[in-house]
Amino acid sequence: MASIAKKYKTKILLLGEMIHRFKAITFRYVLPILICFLEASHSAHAQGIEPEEVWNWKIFFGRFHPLVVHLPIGFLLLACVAGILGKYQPFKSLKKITRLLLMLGVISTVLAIVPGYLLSLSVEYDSTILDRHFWLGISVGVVSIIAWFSTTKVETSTRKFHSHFNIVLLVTLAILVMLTGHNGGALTHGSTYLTEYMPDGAKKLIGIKVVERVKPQPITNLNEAVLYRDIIHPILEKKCASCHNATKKKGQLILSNPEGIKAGGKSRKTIVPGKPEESELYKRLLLPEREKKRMPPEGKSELEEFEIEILHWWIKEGASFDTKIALMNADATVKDMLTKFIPSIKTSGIFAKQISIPDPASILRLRAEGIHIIPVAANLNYLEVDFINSKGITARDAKNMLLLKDQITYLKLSNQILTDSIMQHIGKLKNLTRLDLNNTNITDQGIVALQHLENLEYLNLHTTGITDDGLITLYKLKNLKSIYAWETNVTDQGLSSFLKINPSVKITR
Amino acid sequence: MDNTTKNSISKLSEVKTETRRQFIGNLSTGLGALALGSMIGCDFSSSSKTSSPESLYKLPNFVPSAKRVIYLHMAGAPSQLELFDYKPQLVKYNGMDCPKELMEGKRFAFLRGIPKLMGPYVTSFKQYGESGAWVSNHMPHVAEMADDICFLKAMHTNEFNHAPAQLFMHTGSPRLGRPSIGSWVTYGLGSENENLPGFIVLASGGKTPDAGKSVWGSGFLPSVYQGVQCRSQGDPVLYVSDPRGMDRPLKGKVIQTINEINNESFEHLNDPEIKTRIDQYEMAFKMQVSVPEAMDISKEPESIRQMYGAEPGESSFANNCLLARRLIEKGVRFVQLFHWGWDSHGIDEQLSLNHGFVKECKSTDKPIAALLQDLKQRGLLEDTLVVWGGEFGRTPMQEVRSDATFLGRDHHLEAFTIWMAGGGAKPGITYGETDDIGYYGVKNKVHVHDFHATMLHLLGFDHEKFTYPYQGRNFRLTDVEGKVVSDVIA
Repeated sequence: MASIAKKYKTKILLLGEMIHRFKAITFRYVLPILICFLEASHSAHAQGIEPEEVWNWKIFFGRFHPLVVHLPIGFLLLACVAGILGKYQPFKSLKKITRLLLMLGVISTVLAIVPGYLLSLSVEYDSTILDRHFWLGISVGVVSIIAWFSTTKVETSTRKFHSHFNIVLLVTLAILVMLTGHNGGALTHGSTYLTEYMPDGAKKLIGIKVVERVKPQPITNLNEAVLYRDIIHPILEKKCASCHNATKKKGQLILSNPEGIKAGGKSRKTIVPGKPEESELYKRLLLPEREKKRMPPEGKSELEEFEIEILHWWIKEGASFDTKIALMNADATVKDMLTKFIPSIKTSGIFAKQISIPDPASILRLRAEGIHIIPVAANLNYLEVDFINSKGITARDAKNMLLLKDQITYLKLSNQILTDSIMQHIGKLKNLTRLDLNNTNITDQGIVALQHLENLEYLNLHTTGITDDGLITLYKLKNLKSIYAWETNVTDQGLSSFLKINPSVKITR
Repeated sequence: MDNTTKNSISKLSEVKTETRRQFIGNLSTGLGALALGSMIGCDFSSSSKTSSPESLYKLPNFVPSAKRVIYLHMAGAPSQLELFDYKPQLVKYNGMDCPKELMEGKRFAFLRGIPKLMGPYVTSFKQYGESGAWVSNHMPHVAEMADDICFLKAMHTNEFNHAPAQLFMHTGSPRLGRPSIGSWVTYGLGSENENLPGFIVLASGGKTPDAGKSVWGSGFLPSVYQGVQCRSQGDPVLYVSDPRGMDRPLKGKVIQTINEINNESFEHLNDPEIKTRIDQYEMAFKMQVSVPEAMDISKEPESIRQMYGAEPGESSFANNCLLARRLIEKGVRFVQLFHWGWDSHGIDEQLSLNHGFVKECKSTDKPIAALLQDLKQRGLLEDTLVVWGGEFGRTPMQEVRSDATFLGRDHHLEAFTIWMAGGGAKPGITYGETDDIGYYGVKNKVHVHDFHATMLHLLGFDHEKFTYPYQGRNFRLTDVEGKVVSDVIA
């Protein structure tokens, strides 16, 4: 009898201990949460204030979903791996933790589903994906509970059927977890998040439509540019569309296409054409950083001041989607802002062509001769060469320049003594755009060497012995813009016969 | 000599050696950069570091359209109303009281109370060239070049006194201590000719600018970038010729010894300004030969001298214009001309619109036109930017201080004219408009900072990126302001 009493005594003590713990947990954690719930619904109903304005308990708890949701993914996938591997001899020890992992998985799944449901009530997401995610989430919960029981059963039973059924359950569970997770990801990051940067070939293989991406063309001519297409759209795409796109639609607003912008968001006043001060799109950009309605929200990349100003101008001018900038009223400030959208590197003409890095040894050899040789601009491989400090160009210098024939684009040989062989080499510097040969001994024979310099735009021949015969050999150079022939033997007649063949050249005499 | 020359090339490159502050500042990034450099390997700018010109200056951010500058500064501020800003309405209002609103809350250097408006002192204003730019009878030669010129008619500034306004115009700040545009440009683009300074200053008109040498000073930039003043009369640079009893080889030895001593103290103190001093000694030695040669306008053909109206041996604006072309041709980066004599308050003969002003127009008109023409025929105007302008404008109101027979106008900061030619500035345009009496700019106003930003843009620099670290922050010519006026860029 005494032994029985003793036996029960320990049990009762244990029970007391459990009750005590339960009480502690209840008071410390469960009750406050319950009070929160009650308080929330009570205050919302009693005072009739829109819950969103004060604090929204659904959203508050709902937002714990992404916090908790990674736990069941980890537990359940690990449980599946352990459960399946545990059936094989080398991994037998894994069998022991499978049930524990499944239990943790079930608990965390339930803990994730509840806030997940609450979050889904704040309609900010694409409903088809949301529905799919919701039902997949529920099925993960159900299947994981069944798998938990099944695993318990397998441990006690010896029937083969139980073991096979258990494997099927675990595999199904793993697939379901992955599908649910993928759909959840699609909700927050957009459905194309994973495949956006996949190579086109792979996209075709798995049957994703390859969308021809219209690469934003760098603006070269502001007057030809369309304000929305070339400036506004890229800004919105870069700074707003990660939340306001067709799948994510924060605040029911899509900013990635004209239709979405015209339709507007929840406020219905996203854009009031002509009145930027009444347009939410503009107003919210100006709010102080901590303000709830301020866009972009804290932590997202800010708009530059000139981007905000250009949006203001666009709305003020009627928020058109197809008007060219040339047809709009731009004052000096706007014009200055517009220039910020033009790439600053002058990449017109030859400089748009990519060429290789010049050979450093050739540069050093030329510099050793006192020749001034530097890049035309930072980040460009084109070179400018000036013989101003050299004691006189030699055939060796000319040969060294040949090693840089792709890169040399400006060459100044004023006051040098040039030989025929030097001229032959210079005639091979195919990317030359500017060539100064003024005050040299160049003759009509020497100048023939230049007739294949197709990129030549500027040729300075002043104070040389050039005559009409020499000039005319250059008629084929289509890119030539100016020839300087002051103090030469070029005559009016020679000039006019040259201009007859190539009228685009300006010859200064 | 040869040895010295060769040494100097490599030594000049060490001018930008770091100071203690920079060294400590670089400690954090320096090692990383070192590793990166060795990873990239044979990058041509780093492999030739020891004597490469790149280490001497920055490279332009993009391909420049202007590679050289001739800045014709008209010290004292010529009246835009008598030259380029044609205001027929002002003739009608001549002698009438200035509207009260134009005086309220404004500060002028001399005007007080309610002054009277004054019509332009001109015999005619005509449109010239295909562009139809307005130029008065005072500048007939410049008028002929109108199609090469880009007029900025609604310039405005912050300062109404000469010294601060000149500083503002040349350094972007009305206070002392900032580098001048010429220094910024040579710091940016370097000098092509290793025997001549990259930045040369020529003054005429009998007086140097009110703001003193600071308008061509290098401020916080290393002092190799400061302007070197040359003269068209006597020694081109003061004390450039060898003193009696001191021949050139001896002088060479002296300089070599001084530099050896300086080098020793550099190794001891590591002050980059010592390097600058060494370079300056060597440059001075080379200049003894190069400068007299460059400054000798008697070598120019007679026809060219006549074109400018230049007379060898004189100190004149015409000589300076011809010299400017010679220097530019020899690879000098920035030639700054100052011509004093435009402060037409109407207080005496020189400082009056009906006497001194007319005289200054006569003495500058022909040389300026000749300079443009000469640069053009030599193919230099395409990439040489020529700038003409004062430090501010003059009021539409007459200033009467003592004698009303001398016509005069006070300093005016709200509107004045500056022009540019060549170097990628759009030729044959007039940008900006002032109101009927030329008091305020009413369309396309350009502030001094905007003008600087535009100049730097033509020279290949983004004025917001072209900086120099000093006292813990990066400084720019335009400080925190300035917008590139894209409409005047060809």
